[in-house]
Amino acid sequence: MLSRGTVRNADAAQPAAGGTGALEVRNVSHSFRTPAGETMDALQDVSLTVRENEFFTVVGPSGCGKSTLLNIAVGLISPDSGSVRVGTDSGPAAARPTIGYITQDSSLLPWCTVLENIMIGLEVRKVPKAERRRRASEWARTVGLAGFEKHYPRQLSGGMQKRCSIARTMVYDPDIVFMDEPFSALDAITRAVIQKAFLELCEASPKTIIFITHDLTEAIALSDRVAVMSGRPGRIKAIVDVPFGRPRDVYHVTQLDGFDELHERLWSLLDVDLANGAAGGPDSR
Amino acid sequence: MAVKPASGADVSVAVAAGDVVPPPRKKAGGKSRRRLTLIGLQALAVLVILALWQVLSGRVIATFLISDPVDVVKKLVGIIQTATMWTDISVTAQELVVGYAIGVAGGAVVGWALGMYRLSGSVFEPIINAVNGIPKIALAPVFLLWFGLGIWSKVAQASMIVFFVMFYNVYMGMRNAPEPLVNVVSVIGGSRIYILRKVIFPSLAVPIFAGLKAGVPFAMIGVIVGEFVAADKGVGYYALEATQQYDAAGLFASLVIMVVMVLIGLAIVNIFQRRALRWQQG
Repeated sequence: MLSRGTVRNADAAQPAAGGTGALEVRNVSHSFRTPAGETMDALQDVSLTVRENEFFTVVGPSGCGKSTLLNIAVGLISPDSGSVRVGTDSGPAAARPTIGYITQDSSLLPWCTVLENIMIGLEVRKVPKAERRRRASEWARTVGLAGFEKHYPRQLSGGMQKRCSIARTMVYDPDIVFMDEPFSALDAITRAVIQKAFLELCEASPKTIIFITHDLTEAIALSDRVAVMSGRPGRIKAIVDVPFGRPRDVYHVTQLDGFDELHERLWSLLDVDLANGAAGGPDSR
Repeated sequence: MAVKPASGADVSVAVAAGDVVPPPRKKAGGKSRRRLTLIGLQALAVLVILALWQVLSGRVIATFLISDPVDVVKKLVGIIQTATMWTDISVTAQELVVGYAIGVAGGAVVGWALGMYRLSGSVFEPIINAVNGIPKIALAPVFLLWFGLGIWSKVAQASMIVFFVMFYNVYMGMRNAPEPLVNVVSVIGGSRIYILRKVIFPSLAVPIFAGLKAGVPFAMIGVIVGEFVAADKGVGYYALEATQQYDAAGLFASLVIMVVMVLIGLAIVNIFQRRALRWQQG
């Protein structure tokens, strides 16, 4: 099932695949009980392996269980069956990978300032106060929020909130970052700017990224591999390599040779399900 | 598109020039002038009502029924110079403060507990709804029986009413706990205690202050009802006495005192609210 993808930054100093940055999802199935009392299958026998420092994207029609898959992977939901292994789960606690989680709405704490929000990950790790402050300010600067440290989230634009949530995740240097349609609520210009900025951050400090989107162009622009999910119940239909190298020009990715073919291929993988009415129907959630 | 201040020339990795910065808050004079006009109009409206009252009194409606503003002010100035009125005020204030405090504390704790533990919520919510169905004022004789003529029957009456106001605010606040925020902080690595302290409690600040504010006038209702039923001191007792002696000016003067007491209570809550909910402003 797995074809070779472009593994970024696979330099010798990094631990081999299966190290702290990898994710393995094995035969995961999950269903929900609807308010009407019926059982709705959200995921059916989903298996995938994400390599260390890989940018791995899952696309699929709305309601296909992408977010459920992500919530299972980060441990917010336990699946009905199957298993998820993040890094080397079995090792001592200190060696376990740290994970980051960036959601569609930025999920900043509205009662905390930008700086306080960025410090959360350091605070729960008991980093000394002075260092917390220093590292958080550094990250505020890195994401372009210098001068806004004492602002509250509601005083920021959507793009700035997003950058704050990126800083809040990056500040504690997680091994794996899970992103659930992180940029889909942004306007097109802001989205492109932030996509580019985020890729640059990932290149500066390699990370395993599990990214969920329904935007095929975004998937191609950012990822090493793209998994296409079918409509409900969600299954992995195919995993497609993105052949473009890095660093990548996010702004002009559509002009790259082979972009159209790749886009068409992903689209046709999705399209079958659209025709079947599995996506966007009146009953989809 | 607004220009980003401060970091404009910064070229660190992720500096983005693309997205819009909200405009700086305006401190222009236009706003304060409009506010002054508004206050002026409000004062004018009150003056018109008072003038109407003054004119109608004795001409259309008998003075012993509605008194008139000039008489009420005279009476007010007169009674607040007497020691008995200050005793009345201090008794009512004590009943108000103690009843309010017990009510909000009880309502907040029970609301939090039932919201926190789902099972207890499912068990007790219908029971509390049923008890809330009792017109609390009908309990006044019972409280008198239980707690006697002194301040405690009034404290009980006030706290009984305030309890439910606070309870429903906090309970609903717990039920609407910001799940996405809880999820994100728990993935980042926050412990249960950390989440409680950093996410749940702050998220309750809004409903708690809503309850604190609504509770002040409700506490006053409880206290005054208690004093109406049986008392020998208090502003409500004074109001009842004045009414029984056809002293309309005295009644209205005591109403003014009650309103002022409620407004002072609200002002104190407001000071705390401005501090606690700074993140909501601006």
